[in-house]
Amino acid sequence: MSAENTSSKGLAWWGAGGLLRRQVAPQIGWLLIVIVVGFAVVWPIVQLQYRAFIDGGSAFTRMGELPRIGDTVRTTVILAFMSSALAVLVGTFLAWCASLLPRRVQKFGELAPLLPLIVPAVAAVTGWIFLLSPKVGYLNMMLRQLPLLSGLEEGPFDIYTVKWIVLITGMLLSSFVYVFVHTGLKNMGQELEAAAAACGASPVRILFTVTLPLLRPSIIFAAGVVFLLGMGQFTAPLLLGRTSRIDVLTTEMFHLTLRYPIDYGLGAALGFPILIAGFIVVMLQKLALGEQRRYVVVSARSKYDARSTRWWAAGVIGLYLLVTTVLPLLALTYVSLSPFWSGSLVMTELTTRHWKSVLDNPVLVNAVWTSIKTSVIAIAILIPLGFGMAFALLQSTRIFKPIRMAIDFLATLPMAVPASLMGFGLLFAYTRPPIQIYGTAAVLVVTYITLMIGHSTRLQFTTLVATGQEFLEASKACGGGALRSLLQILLPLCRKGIGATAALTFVLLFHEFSASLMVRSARTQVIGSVMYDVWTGGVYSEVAVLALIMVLVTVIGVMIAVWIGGSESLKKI
Amino acid sequence: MKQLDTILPGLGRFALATAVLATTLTAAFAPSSVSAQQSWNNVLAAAKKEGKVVLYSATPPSLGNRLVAGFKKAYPDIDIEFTRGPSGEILTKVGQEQSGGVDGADVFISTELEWFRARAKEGKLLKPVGPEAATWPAKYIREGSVITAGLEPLTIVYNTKLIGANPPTSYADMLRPEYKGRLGTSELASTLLIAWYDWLEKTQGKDYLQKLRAQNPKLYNGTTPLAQSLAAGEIAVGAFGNITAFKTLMDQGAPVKYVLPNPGLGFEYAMGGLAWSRRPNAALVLMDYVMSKAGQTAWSGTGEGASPRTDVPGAIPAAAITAWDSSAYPPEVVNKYRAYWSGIFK
Repeated sequence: MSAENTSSKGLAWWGAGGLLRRQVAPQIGWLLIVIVVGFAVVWPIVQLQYRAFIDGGSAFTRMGELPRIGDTVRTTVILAFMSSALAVLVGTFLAWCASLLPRRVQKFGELAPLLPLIVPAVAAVTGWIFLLSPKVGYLNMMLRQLPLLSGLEEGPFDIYTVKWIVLITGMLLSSFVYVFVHTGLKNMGQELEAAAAACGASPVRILFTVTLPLLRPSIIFAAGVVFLLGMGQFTAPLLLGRTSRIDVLTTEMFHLTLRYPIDYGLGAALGFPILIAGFIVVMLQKLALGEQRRYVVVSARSKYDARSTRWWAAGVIGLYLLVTTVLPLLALTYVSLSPFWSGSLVMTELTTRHWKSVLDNPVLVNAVWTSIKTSVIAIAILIPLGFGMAFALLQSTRIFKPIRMAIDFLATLPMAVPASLMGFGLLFAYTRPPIQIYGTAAVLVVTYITLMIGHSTRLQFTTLVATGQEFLEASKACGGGALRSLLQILLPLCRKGIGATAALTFVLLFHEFSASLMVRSARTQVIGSVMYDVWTGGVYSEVAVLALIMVLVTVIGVMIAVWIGGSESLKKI
Repeated sequence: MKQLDTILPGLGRFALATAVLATTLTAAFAPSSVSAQQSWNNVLAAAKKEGKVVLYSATPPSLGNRLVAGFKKAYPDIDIEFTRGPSGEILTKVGQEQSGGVDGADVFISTELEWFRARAKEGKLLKPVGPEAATWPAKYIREGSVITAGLEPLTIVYNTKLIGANPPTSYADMLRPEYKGRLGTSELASTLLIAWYDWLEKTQGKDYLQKLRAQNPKLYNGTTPLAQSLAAGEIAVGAFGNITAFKTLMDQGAPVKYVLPNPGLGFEYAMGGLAWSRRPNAALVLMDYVMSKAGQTAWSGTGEGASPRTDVPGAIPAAAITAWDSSAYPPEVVNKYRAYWSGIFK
């Protein structure tokens, strides 16, 4: 009797149909994810921002006393608005051009505007300096050969100005806009455009009266993304602004990390406006996304291809590729083979000395390996963690609503906080107890996980949604347990998407510069941070070599991504 | 992890204590020269066991690379890891390592002399016990453990392709109208820069910095990036430079020349072994190497600077260099001057 009672109690609370096992245990698992990821993502930000407000907000007073802080804030705002506006214009125009491509060049032409993403920002900006430095930039020197400009001693362009920081940032960000708008265009039916064409509207009129209004949600979403990236922009202002006294809030924060003892309160105060703006943009995006779902007019993808094609569209995309990718890479290649950056084009003096010097330098080679190792370890943690969080976000997953909301928030937060600000917070959090890991590779792994958890979750969420629930439900109906269904049904179905996510995350981590520069120590360096060190204290030709190594490793990563996930995976970068 | 972090500095201190104890005991119970040699042999043996030494240095890459190559040749059993950076930046990293108990630098070379003196007074620097320390001029060992490892004059530099027949020879020449927008100088990358700007005002006139700012100079983070831009031709003249930063480029055929202005200022590189080092014996061996004739020849035998030693062929005589007085720039003066300078140049 007693044994029977125990058994029935066991069934009720644990066993196959037990309440604890079916209802409570999974919730504890989700809660654990919320606690761990919450600690990683929220703790550094809260800790840091607390420093801004203690002592009666004296950090804000110190911020107000910084020389030219008004200019710094103004430049940050100008950079955010102007570069995102430029990116939206260029990206949308490119997407429209891609939709007009003749069939013969359509496949490559649609991928071409994504190729700039293969060149890390730090490498691209370096290439641009070699091209557009006012006196010895190769492009400037060539332009000065033109009859109209032959009288100039320098210029006509000066890359070390706010205007060019905006232009270059805008061009770097335009590929992101292209991804969103091009996808929107592809998914949009062409019936309305065809109707307008039948009524005699020209392609330009169709663009402004039909296509663009229909694409408004995609464009607004893309604008939000690039505005966030523009506001947290660090690489271009750091490399281009320093010699000309141009600063933004993130570069001011970085300069604080170079002075001992580091004034974390001041850094937090500098980051506070960025944080608030980030939250506002993400909230507006969420609202816009909701609207997008309600306002879609033509949602079915039509096989009817009504757009007329134009060869000049291929020319525009070709020019974009030449300017954003080919020219900077050519400049980097030439400087990497020059004895020193001299501003002269003499082929006979070319040398491989700097390649040898970089490859023989253990500090530089170790940094490349550290980049690869820390990225791979971070991915090994990010993929299962992101998969779990993505699974939690599925409507079909039984999960306590506040926990789902918390997971959604944790997957969104890293996207709202610029990497440089997050890096500054992580430097603060991990140089003191309870987790004192500064100076080890672990701090880089934790940084990468914190930065990429949102990305990993969103990408795998897309994969899970595309996979559908039918196979999983069928498995459960056939008596398959949760673990068996996961291992034998869901994971094999998602394998391609997960593989592509892993490869693309590797590329993003290998490009990571802003946060890495904040949290690195003198002995724990990654390729981006040593490249900066060589830039500020070494030989420019070696910088060019490192930039090209970054591009080469990225190309390998992208090729693996495409091999695993097909050409669509390139668009997910 | 935490436990390991606690244990490792402990091991470092134990190794240091052993080395010091060995030195003291041997000195007490044996004839002095024999005991000194014996205790140094103990340090050498312990350094070999440690197997590696980590050097952080603010010296330009070429000089650091020469020291590394020379040390490797002299002590093939001890690996050397070299990290370079501007004085201020690298000092921040050393400070973070000290406060966080992080395994980092063993030996640190920088122009931040006062930082070294403060650490020496706290007992946080290793006392050099190698054979070279015994003969090192007393003037160049401060607080018993801060070594002046090299001296250099500050120079004016120019691009020979861009500056023709009438090159600049003095700081007053920096204000020539033809150099407007073609000039480069350094940010306050270290306390040395603060002393230099302060010295310029004192010797060139109170309004000199305002006039220099009116020339719209480009600001570089120290002399090494300035050297690269000058060689490329981005700027025609550099107001702040030291020979070491330019020598390699000149050797490679870069169109760069330097002049020693009169009056001029010089500076010292201070070297210290860090007491919180995980490899204290290897640190002592590296310091001894830098102070040796071979080390000093690698440092300044190319004519880039002066050596405290008098037997280094090719070096500039140390007496010819008037180094800045670091004691006049304690932290409160530095912070005040930083704000003052930023008001002018930023």
